[in-house]
Amino acid sequence: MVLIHFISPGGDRQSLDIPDGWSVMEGAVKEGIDGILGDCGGALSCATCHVRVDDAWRDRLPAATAEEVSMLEMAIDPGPDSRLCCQIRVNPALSGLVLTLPERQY
Amino acid sequence: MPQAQPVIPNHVPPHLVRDFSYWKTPGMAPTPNGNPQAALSFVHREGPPLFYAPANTYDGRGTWVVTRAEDQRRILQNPEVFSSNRGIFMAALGEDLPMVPLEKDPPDHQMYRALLNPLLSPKRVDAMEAGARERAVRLIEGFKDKGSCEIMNDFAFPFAVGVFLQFLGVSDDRRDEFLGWANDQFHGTLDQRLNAMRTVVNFMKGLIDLRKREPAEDFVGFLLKADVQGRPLTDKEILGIAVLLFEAGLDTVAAAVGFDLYHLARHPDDQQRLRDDRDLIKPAVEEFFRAYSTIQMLRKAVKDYDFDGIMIKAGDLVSCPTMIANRDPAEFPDPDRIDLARDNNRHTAFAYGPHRCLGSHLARRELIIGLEEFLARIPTFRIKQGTAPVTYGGYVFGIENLVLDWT
Repeated sequence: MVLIHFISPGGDRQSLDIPDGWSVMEGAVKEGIDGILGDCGGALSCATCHVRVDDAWRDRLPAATAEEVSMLEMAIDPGPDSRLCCQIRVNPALSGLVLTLPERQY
Repeated sequence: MPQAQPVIPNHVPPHLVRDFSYWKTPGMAPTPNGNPQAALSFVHREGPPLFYAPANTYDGRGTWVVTRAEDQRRILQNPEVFSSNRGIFMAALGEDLPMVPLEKDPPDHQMYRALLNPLLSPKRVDAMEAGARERAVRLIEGFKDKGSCEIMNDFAFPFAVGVFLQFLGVSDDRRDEFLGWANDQFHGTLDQRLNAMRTVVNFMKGLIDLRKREPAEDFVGFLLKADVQGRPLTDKEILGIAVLLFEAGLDTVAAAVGFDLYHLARHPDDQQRLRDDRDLIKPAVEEFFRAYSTIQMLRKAVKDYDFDGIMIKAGDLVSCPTMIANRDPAEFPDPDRIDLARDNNRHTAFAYGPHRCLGSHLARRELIIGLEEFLARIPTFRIKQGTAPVTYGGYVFGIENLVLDWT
């Protein structure tokens, strides 16, 4: 289990233990984190699991693939810190990862 | 087209066969004042969660029907077994024209999606908003003083077709012609449908030829210049994309506009709530998408699959109806209740898995604009006395003869 923190747009923090090897999106959807939809199940077809990665963590995540970068165009107001969390695979090195949820997913 | 004799394959256990059809089950045939989505929610009470319907396509083929949202996700997330390439045009017209990307399976699928995403991104939809809103306003102002209109012909279809032409970069003076094809294609007899499909294919072919002669910065121009893995798109691919967007983006949007206004006409309390609180329109549109979903995802098994001990054989068709998954009590508390402010509304009206709708941002915006402008300009409305809207099931659920009155 790896501890991941989600910060809502209003500043509330929710912390989840997500099993090693799962995607962050799977863990968030399973626990019903409001604001992560994951409409396509991780197939890179919807951009409804958009998150902002805390500055301290941005370089510690594997870089986004070209497919993910392309799909981020489908998210609402993406920025340089944006990721689709279906593409973030949980491992112990990510323990304490801080992700901010966007205002909306569509 | 000859109707295939319903044949129940040997591997289908008899106790899983149900007399079920999107065309014939009660509430599916054209029904005055019907509610076709609610008419199917009995499957959750009666079970089983997976059953076989021996004649459940427009041409009489059998399909499995997956009722639970969780099971549908399992199917739709497994394109290696459940292919989306069903040869729709080959079956209907004898023409090898895969609709792209719907009928492309991963991994190629992703390359087409990456290409098309920018055309339907939130930014692009923002840029289309003013034009779409103006179209809605023009239509509504055109019938407002009459005190009554038939929503599908006077508003829903012309609106959806207008936005589609705007997207294509085709001038509005072709709207009525397009409307005629759309009507035949989605609501005609089988012959009319096939003819309309041919007409649409020919129109799109003409558009491609035109853009080759006279390049322009529009949809087809963009596709002609596109590069996929170091090569241009073939004409057949461009055609497949253009035809898919026509098939996917018109009837669905128009039907959603129709079902939403039908609900509001029959539920004056909900109508008033939206008039009192415009911020509620957005979540309400989501709730209508959930409760009045219109499409099914149809997949063809390309390998045998063990579904909790039930054998789905290669070649079987598997139907994942959104309107059934979206009324699954395991996912939605009190699913037959329409709750405009429903929380955590994770519906699958736009499908699920790799083929999840590409145009959802545009569709959502069209519905929000449509309801906002209608409610802002038309006073309290109801179904016109002495008329009865007719709802129907089928491949895409719909409604017609929706005459509203606000005199």
